[in-house]
Amino acid sequence: MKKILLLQIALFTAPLLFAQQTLTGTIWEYTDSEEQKPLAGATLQWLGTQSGTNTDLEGKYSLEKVSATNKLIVSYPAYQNDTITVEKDRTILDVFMSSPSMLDAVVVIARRSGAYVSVKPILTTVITTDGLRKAACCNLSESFDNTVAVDVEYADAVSGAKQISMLGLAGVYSQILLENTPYIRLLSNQFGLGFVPGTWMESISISKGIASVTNGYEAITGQINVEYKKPETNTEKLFLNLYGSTSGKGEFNLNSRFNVKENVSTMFLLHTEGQFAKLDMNHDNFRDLPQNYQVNAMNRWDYTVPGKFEGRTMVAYLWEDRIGGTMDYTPGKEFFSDSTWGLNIKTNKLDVITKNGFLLKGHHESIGTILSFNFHDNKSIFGHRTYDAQQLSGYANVLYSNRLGKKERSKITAGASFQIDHLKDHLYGDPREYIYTSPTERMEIVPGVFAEYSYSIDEKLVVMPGIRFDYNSLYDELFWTPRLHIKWMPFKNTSLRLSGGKGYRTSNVIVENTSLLISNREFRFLEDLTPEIAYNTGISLVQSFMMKGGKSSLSLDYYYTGFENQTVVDVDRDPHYVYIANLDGKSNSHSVQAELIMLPFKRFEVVVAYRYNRVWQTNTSGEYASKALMSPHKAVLNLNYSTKFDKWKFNATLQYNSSMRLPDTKDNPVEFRLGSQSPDYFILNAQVTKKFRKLEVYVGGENLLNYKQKNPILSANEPYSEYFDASIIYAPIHGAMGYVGMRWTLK
Amino acid sequence: MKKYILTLLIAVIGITAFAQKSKSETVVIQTNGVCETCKKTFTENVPFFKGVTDFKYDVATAKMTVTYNPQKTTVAEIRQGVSKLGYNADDVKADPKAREKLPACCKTEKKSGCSPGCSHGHKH
Repeated sequence: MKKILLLQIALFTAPLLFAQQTLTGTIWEYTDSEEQKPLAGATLQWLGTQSGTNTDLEGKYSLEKVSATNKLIVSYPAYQNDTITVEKDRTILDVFMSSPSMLDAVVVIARRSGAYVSVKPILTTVITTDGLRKAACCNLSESFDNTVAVDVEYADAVSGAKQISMLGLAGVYSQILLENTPYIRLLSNQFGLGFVPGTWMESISISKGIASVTNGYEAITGQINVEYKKPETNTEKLFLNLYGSTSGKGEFNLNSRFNVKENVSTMFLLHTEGQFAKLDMNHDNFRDLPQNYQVNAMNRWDYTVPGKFEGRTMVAYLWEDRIGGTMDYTPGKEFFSDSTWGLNIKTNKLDVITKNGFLLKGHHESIGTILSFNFHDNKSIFGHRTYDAQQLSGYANVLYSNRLGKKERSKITAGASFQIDHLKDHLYGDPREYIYTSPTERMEIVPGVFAEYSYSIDEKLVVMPGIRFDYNSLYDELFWTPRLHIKWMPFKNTSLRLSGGKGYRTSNVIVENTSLLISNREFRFLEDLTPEIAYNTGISLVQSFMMKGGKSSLSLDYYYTGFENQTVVDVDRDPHYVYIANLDGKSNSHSVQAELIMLPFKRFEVVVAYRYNRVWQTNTSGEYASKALMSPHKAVLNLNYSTKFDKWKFNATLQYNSSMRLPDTKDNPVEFRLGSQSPDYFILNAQVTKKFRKLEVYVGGENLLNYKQKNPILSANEPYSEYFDASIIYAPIHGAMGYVGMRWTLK
Repeated sequence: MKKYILTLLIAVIGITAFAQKSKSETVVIQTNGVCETCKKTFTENVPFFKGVTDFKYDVATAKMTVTYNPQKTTVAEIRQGVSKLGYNADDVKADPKAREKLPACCKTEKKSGCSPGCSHGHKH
């Protein structure tokens, strides 16, 4: 047990290495009354070590985890000492100390809050299971409703694809990891958020700004790490979830875990969903949502040899069929009518990920390996255009970590990675007449080495520089990526973070802009594309404070991203074309965010957040202009209340999106013009959950104010005219939607 | 904007008021659960017994304090519920089948049997 602790840290949280090693929380006096009283001056000490700390006036503490033990002794004069086993993944621990008469009554509670700012050197917000359940439906794309750090928008009015953006820049500039393995990449960029089922997720960590070097040279604006339920720690023998909505969507989810033998456990996870109804509420002859059928299944295994080895392996398969377009479209049938426009996307995807960790001599040295293999096949029809794509990817990352010297102060993580992507794609057919173009095939091989050093002084100051060198076969170039993170805590409840660094990316224009295939724009490549290169710097301040209901916090941050080169996808130059070129001029983003998480009384949480983005880019006509379809101001108000034992839970979120600039359509005839600016609007979501012993039932509504974009599709009646465009989307296409669901857990 | 915030606030206040409980009685039941694991089992179940509105458990004395609505349940029913979880409740003996299924550490009535691993671990 003791030995596993360090191994876990090195292997499964490698990119956030130091993060997981600090334990924070509050020591409370356990009283029978509702009022909690923090204990100032309580002592915390790791069993059998000299390593310990005292709580401050507000009962709070921050303590570095040690590799020697996971037993923590908590003591307070005249109170009984208590020894607590700290689980390896735990970073926040609140302890209730009982009064001297009640022996042995220590109560350990996990933090209630659905989202909190973690103590990592990189500014990270963690969304817990509790937070995920506030928005009961359905997948990763719906998990960011309560935060302003990540924006989620529909990419177009037909396909149902949702795209994220961070710091005002497209999601491709951030990185989405599944348990620290790069996951949503290349072909999955299009619908990938919908491939991560809500019920499989255990938590999501959102880190803003440039990421650690250990996961590659991408992740410029941020990193999102999704943790799935794990057989080793999950307690659900059987979990069932049913969901149905007024828009005609249904879901069935199931997961089940077993111990195969001692130290070997397995888990099966199944997700099925269907958008069965064919709806056209805005009477434009196009389905508001595509019909969609998905089956997603996973089997995963956890196995350990205590003190020596630990491994996790998962195999997942996904099948999806998506049918959109005009109401009269039937997939498989040829369509020659001037008013029938069809979208049909068939996806098959296989993922195998295996992570294994070996503990070397001593408790401080370990090697972790991550291997992943992905196969992704897409067959798509967009009106008269056909796009077929196939991806085969392999990824390996080996991380070695050790401390330097005898103290825990200096640590190093170094390693090597290898990424290989084979992408075959074939776009043929012209939006208006049939033209055959030959398929393209591309192989990109990227071997790299990296090292990250961390120096910390009593957790008050952490300095973490990192560097990596990668060779990219596509450009025959060597990339060097320096990055730096600093965390400083001038006072106990105040953290100041600084980050900066460089990042690169290979753009995949068609895959990343499939929404533009749902228009009659033609793609015009003006030149050969070179790698995208960007710098990101940021500063943040997190101040935590105590309120009656618990630890509350205020965070402020500012991030700047500047591009040295970028693939410019210009939709402003001409409404009939997309011009694609390398950046010739300036491109940058400024992003400011303020977030206040308050727990004014027990079981009541209020989140107020605001962010401002300013994103400007030189387009292919040489004009320096603000980015289209990005709302500069966004605000969120989120209220959560639950009764005792969470018997009832009430969640409501109000989101404000400011007016945004729309792509230029002024050269179109009057009826096919959109203004230069969109209107601003509010979105309201609410949910009520009733908990029984094994059963939870929830009822909720999305977009309750029923705000819809008018005319989401230009020239919807004549989808083969040159004015047809369904890619200019700034608001929801479907209106208010209600849903009901249940979860049943057998422990 | 103001209108929406106000609506939300009113909704939340309404909910809070609604959550206030009516008539209730309190009983202390002596059990034989001595681990944190036992406490966890109780916390996940007893508050959801029919008519139970509040619950506290003291591991040291193995006593639970249950607040309930006498119009919806009786002390006898609560004791019966605890027995079905595998624990004694005052003079009602634990259901033997349920007790058999408990983790090893919860079957002991001695505090020394409470190994720290038990409070978080699985039944291997």
